[in-house]
Amino acid sequence: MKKNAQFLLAKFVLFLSVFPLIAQAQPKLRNPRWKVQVLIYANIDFQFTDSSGQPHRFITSMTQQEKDTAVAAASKFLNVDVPALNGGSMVPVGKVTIVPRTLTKLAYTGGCPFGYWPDPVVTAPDRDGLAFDAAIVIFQERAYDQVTGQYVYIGCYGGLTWPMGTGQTYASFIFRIFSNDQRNVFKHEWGHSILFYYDSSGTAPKPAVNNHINTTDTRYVHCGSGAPYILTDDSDTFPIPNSIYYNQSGFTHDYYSGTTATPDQVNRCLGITPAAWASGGPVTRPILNPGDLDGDGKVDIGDLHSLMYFLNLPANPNDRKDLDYDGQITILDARILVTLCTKARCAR
Amino acid sequence: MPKRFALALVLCAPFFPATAATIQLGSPVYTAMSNSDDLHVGLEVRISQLLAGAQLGAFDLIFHFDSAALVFWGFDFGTFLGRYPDSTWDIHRVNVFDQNVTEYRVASVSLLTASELQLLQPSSFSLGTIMFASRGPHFETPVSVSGLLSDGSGNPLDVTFQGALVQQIPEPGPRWLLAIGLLAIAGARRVRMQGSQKRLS
Repeated sequence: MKKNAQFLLAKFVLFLSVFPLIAQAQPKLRNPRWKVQVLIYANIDFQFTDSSGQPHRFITSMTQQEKDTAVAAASKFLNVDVPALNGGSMVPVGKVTIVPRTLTKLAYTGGCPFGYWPDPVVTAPDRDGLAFDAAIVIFQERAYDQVTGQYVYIGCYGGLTWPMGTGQTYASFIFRIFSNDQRNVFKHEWGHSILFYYDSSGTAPKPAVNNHINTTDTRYVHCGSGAPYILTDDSDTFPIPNSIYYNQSGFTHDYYSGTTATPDQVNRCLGITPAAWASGGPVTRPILNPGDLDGDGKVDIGDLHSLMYFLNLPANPNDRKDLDYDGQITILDARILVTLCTKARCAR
Repeated sequence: MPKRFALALVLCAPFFPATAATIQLGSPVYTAMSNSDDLHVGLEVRISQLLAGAQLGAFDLIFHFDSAALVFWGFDFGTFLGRYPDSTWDIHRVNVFDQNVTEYRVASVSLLTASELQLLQPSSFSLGTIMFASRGPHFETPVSVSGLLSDGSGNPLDVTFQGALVQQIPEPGPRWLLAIGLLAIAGARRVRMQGSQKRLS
């Protein structure tokens, strides 16, 4: 019995020593990367008349420092937070734009006296639904009312997300609600948008997770262990273990990575599973027969030649040459193609 | 921390090493050109500090230089990614016949597997040599390099780039050497004559 255990241990150690070579020899093709368009509305000049007949004209703009903060926070959310939350299943590609035009229209969303917001219709001229899977909108909500001479806050929420079916997702935020140090509102609202999308596309397990978790009628636990969540906001300065985000038991992490469950069925994993992420987003879809650019049923030097012709050019949406889904045809795509070749040395 | 999670961390650590490397342009090697005061300048492009377990599967490099001082002359590929055309695919990305270019781009993709590259590549090796011709005998100009490198699986390598200063310190030509020698002889003779006149007086 003891000898048998030693043999198994030796086999395990041998496996560990050769596993890195196996892993390198058989590279795993990446999942499609969501292309995210971040639109920052720095200037608003909006006029309306309230229900009592009082006219208003809200004017606001962002300072350069505020613009920099918004760019940094959005970038960090996409580059650091999202891959951490989904367990590395998907690394989004972000494009951040300070929208040059002044926003003159807002949609009434209610909730407070000045509940106006840039909804999907208002921002439609600036969004590219054919090239980007997701839109993230940030706007300056602290405004000066030129008619009454008062400073006001427009919008009544930290963030709002619209269900968009299987189309480009839409999450929006007021500037004041996040900082360089904490981006919890991004995690929550973008969480809504991806849950909406994967529920509509039918690629995530049912029932869809409702991320307005509470302690009464909408409760979740960690899949498998049944451990409950402690819902606390965290920050970069004070990351809180077992918070909504920070470690493997965090609720946000678990629904982003398909490892949450309802208390009545703790082994039924819900949320956005690795398989759901692998199915892509509203625009970026997985490449079928990756590497076979000429469609002849094999991957060879001819395909590599075709790819190299487009080296360092931007990729089109769902470009078959963009094998790492980063939006550019690079030498990395060329090397990935080589790893997919049907014959040794990519022979024809 | 749950035990299972701790074990997963320990097991994953060796499988996902942080890859890093340095690309360095070596010291310039100067060769005189026949029938001219101009020089050929060769710079070795060397990759070093490639982490154990990592391989270089492809590179796409851009060399920047001052076309007033240097003319691009050629690029010799090394053999540590394989040999063209059987085991690499190499391309030049500029019109090498245009003498006014200020950057030269070169890319190479190895057709070898990651395991073959692992056996072929030490932690430090030559990617090739970039060669220039000087536009005159005296020059001092930087050559820099940037770009994108891939490991054996198509993942980007975290690379530090180090350029080089190409300079030729002015040396007196043969005619100047002859003139200085003649002046020295004349000077010495004059001193000797002045000495003998003093003795006579």
